[in-house]
Amino acid sequence: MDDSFQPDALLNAASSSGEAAEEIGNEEEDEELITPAEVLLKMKRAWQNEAAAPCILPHQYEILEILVDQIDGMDENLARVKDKTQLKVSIHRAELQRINYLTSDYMRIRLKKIEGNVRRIMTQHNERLRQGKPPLLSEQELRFAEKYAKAEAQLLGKSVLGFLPTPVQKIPHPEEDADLSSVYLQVLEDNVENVPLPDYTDPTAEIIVSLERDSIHLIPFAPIRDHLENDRVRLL
Amino acid sequence: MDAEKCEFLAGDESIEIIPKLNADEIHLISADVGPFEAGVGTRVPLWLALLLRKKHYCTIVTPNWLSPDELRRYLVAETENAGLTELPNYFFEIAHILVREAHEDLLESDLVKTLVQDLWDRREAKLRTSIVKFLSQKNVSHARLDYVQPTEVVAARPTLAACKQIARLVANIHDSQQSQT
Amino acid sequence: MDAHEGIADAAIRLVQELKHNPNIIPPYDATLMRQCIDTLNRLYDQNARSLMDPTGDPSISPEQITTQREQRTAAIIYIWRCTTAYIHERACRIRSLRWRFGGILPISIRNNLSEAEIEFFNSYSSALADFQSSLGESGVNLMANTEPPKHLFVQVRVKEDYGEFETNDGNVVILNKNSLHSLPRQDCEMLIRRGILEIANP
Repeated sequence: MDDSFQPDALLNAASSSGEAAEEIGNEEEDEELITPAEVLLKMKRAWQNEAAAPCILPHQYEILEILVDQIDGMDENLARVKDKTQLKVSIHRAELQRINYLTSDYMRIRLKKIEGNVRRIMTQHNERLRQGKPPLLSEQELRFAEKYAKAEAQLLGKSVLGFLPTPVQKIPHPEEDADLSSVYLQVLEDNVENVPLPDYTDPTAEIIVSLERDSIHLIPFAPIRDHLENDRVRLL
Repeated sequence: MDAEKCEFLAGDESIEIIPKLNADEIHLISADVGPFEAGVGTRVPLWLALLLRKKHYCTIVTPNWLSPDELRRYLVAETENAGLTELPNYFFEIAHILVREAHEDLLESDLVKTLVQDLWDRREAKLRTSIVKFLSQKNVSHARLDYVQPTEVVAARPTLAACKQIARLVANIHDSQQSQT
Repeated sequence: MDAHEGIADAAIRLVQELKHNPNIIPPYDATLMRQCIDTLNRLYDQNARSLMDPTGDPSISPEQITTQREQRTAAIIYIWRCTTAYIHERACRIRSLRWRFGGILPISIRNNLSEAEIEFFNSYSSALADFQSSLGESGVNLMANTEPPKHLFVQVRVKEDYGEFETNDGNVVILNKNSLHSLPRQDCEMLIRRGILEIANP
């Protein structure tokens, strides 16, 4: 191997061993130190959840943007390396491809969900803001949603709605039936609160399900939404 | 989620390799790997093991749990237990990847392939029976599937569509019952 | 009663056009759309007139007049559903074109779209482009990395002479028509999309 090669020059951010973990994220008081490896794990989790969820979940763009920056930084460093045939270069590049796939797919999955029901999602986003809940869409996604909603409205208006009497100039909202869906989930923590499920034979009754750590369940999505948002469970 | 994505996730599981070269430690974003010493076993993520192997820089060491003896133990346990037995993370994905891309490094790879397939079949039969039972029960929308593997969840995805249909039917029935009262 | 038979025919045919051609975007059927719009407007006017002049034909009872109005309303809603579904389904297919072809549509497909649809494609492309450039130092490219990186290398055949090509790991290859190469997958994505390379052994 090339003796003059400086391995650490290839990595902008801290070593993943956590020795020099950077303070990453918003510069708020008491921000927890988080290593790049942990960021990556969170992104993997967020991607899996988003892929499995029947509706769009609250965004994780803080993590996403950290990784996008890491990818940019690494890309730049790799481009500057003179001898690109080195093994290290292939290895770093292969890891970059993996991370890039995660971040890109996360963004794509969410954009498709937004396109599928843009008006309803924007309403939900605003509703959550009013309730002081973590936002559904990131700033970038919100801008995209607004432009897309406009494009869709223009298309419908110019093709058909604009030629119809005013009361019929309605844009159809696709049904949102995420609450009717079921999911596979795994419980991540101890002492997760029991979940009440509807009893199909008796609309006034409930069936209580207990959620033991590590157990895996096939279960309706609606009752576990909060647990998912609080990272107490993950979707499979 | 699909089988390809499961294999992608399995790529992060660690596996033992015997390097054929020496190399310094590498600081990846996801982990620190190395330093590598020719002939000295070390653990790396599966995706890296495959990359190194493809370039002829290492051989992959068969995981303990993928030996014919261990696999036969799993098969016995699977027959004796009513529920699914606990298997290592991404068991089927890793087995498929190694059989497909590193079978020269695997001991008795043909036998391994057969035993893994048997295990898959036995578990799939169990899952199918319990899903049929689950869907035909009247009152509840919940089932517990401890130790189910990621690829098995993917294969069981169509059940979710059935659950949704049932939920919709029930909602309609309850709605019309309410409007009758 | 029979006056309403076939009133939604055009609407049904619109939806069927798309059902019978699930994998392409058939030419925009402005004629059928026009018929649907005219029919819907006519029904609406009839209802309006029926409300304003309830006496009308003395041989028809008030109940029957109400029923007629209800039937027209049902037809109006049905036509509205079909026409908006037609546009919506085509819009879905147009969006996936953007992911296949990038921002420029092949002429053969463009010719099948209405003016409004071409405008929609452009607005959609531009919204995506804005989104992509709003992230990272020099933007992100969501058309790359669409599959988990499994094989690092792909076997490709060169379809058109391209000349020298440098891969990201520093190797230079000459891409002559019909030659076969084993190249890093990531480097090939764009050339494959542009039709310069094709996968040799899937």
